[in-house]
Amino acid sequence: MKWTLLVIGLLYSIGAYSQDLPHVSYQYERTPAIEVMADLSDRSGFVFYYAPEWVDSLSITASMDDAPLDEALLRIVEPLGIHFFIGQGEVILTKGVKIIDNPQLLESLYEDRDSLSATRESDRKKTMELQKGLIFSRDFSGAGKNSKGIEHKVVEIGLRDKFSKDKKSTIVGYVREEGSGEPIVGGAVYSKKPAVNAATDGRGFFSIALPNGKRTLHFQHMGMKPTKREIVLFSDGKLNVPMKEDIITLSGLTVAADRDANVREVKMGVTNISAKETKNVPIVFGEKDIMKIATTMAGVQTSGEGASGFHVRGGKSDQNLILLNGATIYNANHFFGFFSVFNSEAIQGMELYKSSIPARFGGRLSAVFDIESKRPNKEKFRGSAALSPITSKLTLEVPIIKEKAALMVAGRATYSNWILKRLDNANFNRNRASFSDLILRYDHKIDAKNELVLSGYLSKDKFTLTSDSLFSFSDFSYANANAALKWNKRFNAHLEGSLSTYHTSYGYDLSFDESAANAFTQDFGIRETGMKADLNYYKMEAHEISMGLGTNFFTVNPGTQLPFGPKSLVAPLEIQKTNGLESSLYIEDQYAINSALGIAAGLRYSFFQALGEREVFEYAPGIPKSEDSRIGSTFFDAGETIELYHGPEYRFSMRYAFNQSESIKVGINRNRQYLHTLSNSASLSPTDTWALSGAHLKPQIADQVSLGYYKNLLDAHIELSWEAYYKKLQNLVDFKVGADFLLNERIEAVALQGKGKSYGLEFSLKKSGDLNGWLNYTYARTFIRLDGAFPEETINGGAFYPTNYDRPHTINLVTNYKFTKRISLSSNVQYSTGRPVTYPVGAYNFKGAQVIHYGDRNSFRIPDYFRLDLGFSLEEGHRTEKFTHSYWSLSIYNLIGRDNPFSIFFDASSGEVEGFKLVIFGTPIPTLSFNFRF
Amino acid sequence: MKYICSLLFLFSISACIEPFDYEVENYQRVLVVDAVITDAANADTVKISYTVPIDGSSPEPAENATVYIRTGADLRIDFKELEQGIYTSPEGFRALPGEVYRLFITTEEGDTYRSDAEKLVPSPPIDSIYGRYEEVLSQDNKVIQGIQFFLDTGVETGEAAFFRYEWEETYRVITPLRSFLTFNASNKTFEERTENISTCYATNTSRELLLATSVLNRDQRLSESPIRFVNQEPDILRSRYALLVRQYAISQKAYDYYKKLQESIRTGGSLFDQQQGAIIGNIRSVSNPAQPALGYFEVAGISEKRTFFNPRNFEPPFVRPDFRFDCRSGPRALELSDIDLIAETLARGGLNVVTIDTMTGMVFIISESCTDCTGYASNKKPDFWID
Repeated sequence: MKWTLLVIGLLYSIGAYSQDLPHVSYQYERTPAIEVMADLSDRSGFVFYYAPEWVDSLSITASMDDAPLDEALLRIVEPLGIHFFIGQGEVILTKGVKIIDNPQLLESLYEDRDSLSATRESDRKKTMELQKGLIFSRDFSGAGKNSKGIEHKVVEIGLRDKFSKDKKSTIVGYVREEGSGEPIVGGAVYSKKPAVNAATDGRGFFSIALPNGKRTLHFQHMGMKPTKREIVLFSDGKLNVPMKEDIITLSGLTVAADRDANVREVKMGVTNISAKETKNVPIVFGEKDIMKIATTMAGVQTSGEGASGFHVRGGKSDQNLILLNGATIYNANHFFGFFSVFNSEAIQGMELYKSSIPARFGGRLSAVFDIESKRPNKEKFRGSAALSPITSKLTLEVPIIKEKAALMVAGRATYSNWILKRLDNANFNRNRASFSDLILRYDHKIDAKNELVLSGYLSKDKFTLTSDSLFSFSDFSYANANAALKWNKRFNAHLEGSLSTYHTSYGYDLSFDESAANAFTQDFGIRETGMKADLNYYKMEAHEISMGLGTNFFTVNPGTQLPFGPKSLVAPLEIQKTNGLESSLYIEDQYAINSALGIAAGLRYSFFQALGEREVFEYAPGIPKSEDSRIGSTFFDAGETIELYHGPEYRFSMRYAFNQSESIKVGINRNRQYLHTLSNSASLSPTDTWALSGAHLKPQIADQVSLGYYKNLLDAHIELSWEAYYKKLQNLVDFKVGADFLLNERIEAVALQGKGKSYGLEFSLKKSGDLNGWLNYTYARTFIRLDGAFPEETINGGAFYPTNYDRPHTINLVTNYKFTKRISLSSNVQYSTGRPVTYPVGAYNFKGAQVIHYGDRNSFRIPDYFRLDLGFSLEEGHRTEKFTHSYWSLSIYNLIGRDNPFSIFFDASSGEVEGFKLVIFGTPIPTLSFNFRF
Repeated sequence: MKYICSLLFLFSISACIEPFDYEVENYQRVLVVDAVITDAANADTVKISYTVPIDGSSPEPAENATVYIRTGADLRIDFKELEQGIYTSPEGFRALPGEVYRLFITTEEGDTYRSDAEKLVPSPPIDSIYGRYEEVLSQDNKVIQGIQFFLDTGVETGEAAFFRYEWEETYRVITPLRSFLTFNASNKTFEERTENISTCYATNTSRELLLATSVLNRDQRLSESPIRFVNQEPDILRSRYALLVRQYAISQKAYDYYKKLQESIRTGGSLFDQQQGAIIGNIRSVSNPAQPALGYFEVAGISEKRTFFNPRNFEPPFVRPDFRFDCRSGPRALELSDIDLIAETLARGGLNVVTIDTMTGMVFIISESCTDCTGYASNKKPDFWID
C-alpha cells in the first residue's frame, strides 16, 4: 500500500506539472550524484534541495533525451531509494521521507474507506493505518487546494512501518537561507500544539522531539520570512528547510527566533543580537549601532555618555574580546566612543558571551563580542544607502558567480569637515574631526563541502584640535585594519572543520607642530597575526564536541617619537618593541544527557611566551621599581623566550530543565589574559596603549561562578531570567597616581597589579508581540585592591575599593510598539548609579599654586544617570516587488534634557576649590535619517 | 577640554562645563612641605603648613617645629623659624654640587617626618631669553594676542636634564605726562616736586609650576621652552620690560612629582580625565607610615638670567598696548593769576599740576592717573634696572 501511495503521489505530481516542466537531455557515465544534481539544476533552472550525504557516495549511469524533468528525475533517483518533489522552481529530494502534495486524494481515500473492503492485504493494512488516525485529517484538505509552495503541502517524516501511536519521534535537519545556503543560526523551530521548541545551532542544525502524528512545525528567524511545514510524523527522520529573507523586516526587536533558547541553551550569559534589532531602538545621531544595543543588555555597562569603554560584569574595558569575522578589533570606537566602528548596515549579528565563554575563545577575561559581517547574497545584486546628519553609508552585495560567489562592500564616511569649514565661528573651523570605515566580505562556495570566506576591514579616525594642553598634540589619527581568510569544510554529516588565518593591526599617530623647535610625531601600534584550526563533531543530538588549536603572534610598538620638520630639535626616541606568542588548545563537549540535563564541559590550555628581542631591566628587591632601583638588565635575542606563562582555563556549564519553559543553570569559568591596556584615564582614551605580559607584567586571571534561573511565560512571549555571579580577578592592572605611560621605557615602574572581585545579580524580562522590548535590571559591584609593599604602590590603605566603573544599579528599558506594519514607536530608558569619583579633602598652596588634596580613591559618586530616548520609524514600499524600499526614522535623544554629568572635577585656581561637571548631552537631540534599499 | 566642547558643538551638542555643588564631607589635615635648597648664596627656606578644609579657610602654618637637614657626611644643619611656619637656613649656608641632602622635621605635636635623599646637580647657564608674537586661545575660546617668551639653554645641559623655572618680570611704566610741581594749599605756592612719580617699575612673579626637560631633545638642549606669555593688556609691554628666569636643575623624581601636580591642577573637564589621588612626593612620616605627607624637598642647582626688552622692537602684528588710562584729552589750563580757582580746583583732589608755562602764565592741571603711577607700581628704580 505504501508503494501504491507513493506511486499515486508521483503520478499525480507528474500529471499536474508535466506540461510546464522543462525538458532535459543528459548522458551520465558513472558520474558522481552530486555533479548530476548540479547539472540537472543547471539544465532545468530549478533549485535542488537535498542532503549531500545521501548521495555523495553514489554515482549514476543513465541517459535521457529531451524528457520532462520529473521523468528524468524518476529515472535517476528512483534506483537510489530517493524520493523527489517538484515544486515551483525547486526540486526537493528526500530519503525515507516522501513529500505528498495532494491530501485531497488521501482524504478521498479516507472518506471512501468503507468501499475499501479488506479484500486485499495491502488495503487492509492501510485501513489499519487509517484507524490509527494517521492519515491526514480534514484540517489539511483546504490547504491543498491553493497549494502554492511547500508550506501547504504535507510532508511525511520517518518510516510508516515504525509508527507507534503514543510515542515521540525526533526530527532533525538543517535550516538554511535560500539561495546562499547559509545556515540560519539561532532560528526557532517550534510546534504550537503541543508547545515544543527548539533552536538551530551554528550550522543551522536543529533537533526537536514531538509526539507522532500530524503536526505543524514553525520556523522563525529574525529577518527571515517565517515558514512552516505540515508534517505527519511516523518515526525519527529528517527535514531540511530553506528560509527566505524577509524583504520587509518590520518584525520587532524581540527575539521571537530565540523562543525558549534562553531556557534550553546549556550555556549561560549568551546574548544573540541581530543587526536588524538596531533599527528599533532610538539612537543618537541616527546611527544604528549594534554595540549600543549591547550596552542595553543586562550586565553590560558603559563608562559614561559617549564613552568608549564597555564593562561586562565588572570587567575592565580591555577585558572584552571584540571580533569581526574572527579577527580582533582593538579600538571599536569612532570619535571618542560616540559611535562604534561597526557600520550596522554591513553586520549580520553579534553573539555576546559574558559568562560561559566557549572554550574556542580566549585571551580576554570578561566577554566576547563575536560580530559577523553580512553574508553577501549570491543570487541578486542588492544595495542599501542611508543618510543621517553625520554620515552617509552605502552597502552593496554583488554576486560574482551566481549561487557560488558573492561580494559585500559597505562603506561609511562622515561629512563633518565639510560642515566645519562652513561654520562662521573662527574657532570651530580650526578643528577637524572625521571618520570612515569599510567592510568587505567575499564568500566563495567551492562545492557542497568546501567554502572560503575572505573578509577585510578598515577604519580610520582623524581629528585636529587646536593645541589642547591636555593632549599636547594637534593632529591625531588612528586606524584599525584587518583581513581574515577562513576555509570551512564539511567532512561528513558528523564532522565539520575550519581553518582560518588572520592579520589585524591597530595604531595611532599624533603630531605636534605648534612650535617648530619642538615639533614631533609619535605613534603606537599593535599587530596580531593568528592561525586557527577548529573541528566540530556532532553525534546526533547527544554530543557536540568541538576542539581546536590556534596561535597568535603579537608585536607591539609602544611608541616612537620623531622630530617633525627641519627645525625640530626633538631627539628620535624609540621604545623597545615587545613580542609575544600566545598559543592554545581546547576541547569542549556539549552533552545532552537527557532532555532535562545538559552539560557543556570545556578545557582550554593557553601558553604565552614573551619573546625577544628585548632588553629587560632588573630592579633591586625591597624598594619600588624605578630608574634609581635598576640594578641591571638582560638582553634577549630575537625569538628567545623572556618569560613563559601558561595555565588551564576551564569552562563548565550545566543546565537542568524542569520543563520546556523553566530551567536552572550553573557555570564555572576561568579565563586568562596576556594583553593589557595601559590607561590612566577614567574612561578609554584614544592614547591608551596595549602592553603584553612579560618579565614584569603578569597575566590577568579571572574565575567566575554563575547561577541562573530561566522561566518563559505565555508560550515564550515573555522570557524571564535571573543570573547571579561572583568573580575573582588576579593581577588586574592599574596605575600609580599621575602615572605617565606614553613613551615610558619602564612601564613596570608605574604599573600596579592587584586583586579584584565583582559580584552581581541580573534580572531580565523580554517580551515579544506588537508591544515588545526588554527590561533589564543589574546589580553589580566591582572592587580592586592595590596593596603593594610601598606607600606609593598602595591605594586606599590596601583595602578593596570600588573601581571607576562600579555602578551598583542599572536599569535599561527598551520598548517598541508597532502601530501598523509600517509605523513603529520605540523608546529607551536608562538609569544607573553614578560612577565613583575621588573627592577633595583639603587644599594647600604649593609654590604659588593652589593645589587640591584628594582623599581615598573613588570614595564618592557622581550623580545618578537617567535618560529617555524616543524613536519613530516609518516604512514605505511595502511590496516586495518594488524596486526600492525605504524608511525614515526620527529619534530624539535625551528627551527630557537631563544634565547627566559625564565627569566631576575640581578646580582651585581661583583660590577656592570649586566643583564642575562636564555634561555632554544636556539637551534633547533630534535626528532624522533616511535609508533605502535596492 | 574646551576643544572637546567645540568639537561636540559640531554635532550640535551642547556639551559643556557647569558648576557643580558638592558637599564638603571630609577634611584631612596633612603636613605640606615646600622646601628648596640651592647652591645660591641666599638663604634657603623650608615652608611647612597643613592642608586647609576646602571651604577656603586661611592657611595654617606649622609652627614651632624642629627642622634640619643632614648631608651625606651626616652633618646636621639646623633651620630657624623666622616667620610663622617658615624655617630659614643659617647664614652662610650654601648647598654644594654633588652633595646629598635629607630633610628632617619634627612637628610641635611630636610627629616626625623625613625626606628621601636628594642630590644637588648644578644648573647649566641660560643662553637666551626671547619673545615672539603668538596667538593663544582663552578659556572661553577667544583668540588672545601677545608675546610668548621662550628660553634656550644653548649648550648641553649635562647631568641636569630636568628643570623647574620661576620668572620675575619687571616693567617700566611712564605716565603720559609728568608732574613737575606740587601745590602747597596752605600758602598757595607751587613747589618743585622732589621725586619722580611718573616713572615706575612693577614686578610680577610666577605663580605656577613651570617645568621642562631636555631628555627628549637631541643634544640634550632645551630650545624654545615656553616661559611666560604676556598679552596685550596695558602697561606691561609698553615702555621697557625685563624678564628674569631662574632655572632650577632638579632631579627626575622631583620633576615627576611636579608634573603630576601640574596635571592634577590642569586636568578636568575632558572626556579622558586622569585618575585623581593624593600626590605623594619625597616626604614620609616616620612616626606613622600610614599618614601621608605632601610636598617636596627639592635640592637644586640654580642659574638665572635677566633679559631686557624694548617692546617697540617686537615685530607686527604685535601692537604696543596703550597706557592704562585715557589721557588723550590733555591737561586743563588755568590762569596762574587766578590762584584761588587753582586752589579750589586742586582741593577737589585727584589732580596734579603738570607744569607752569611762564611764557603764557598758564598752569596745566591733569588727573593724577595721567601723571602718577605710584598707586600701582613703585617709583624706586630697581638696582638691576638698565635703561
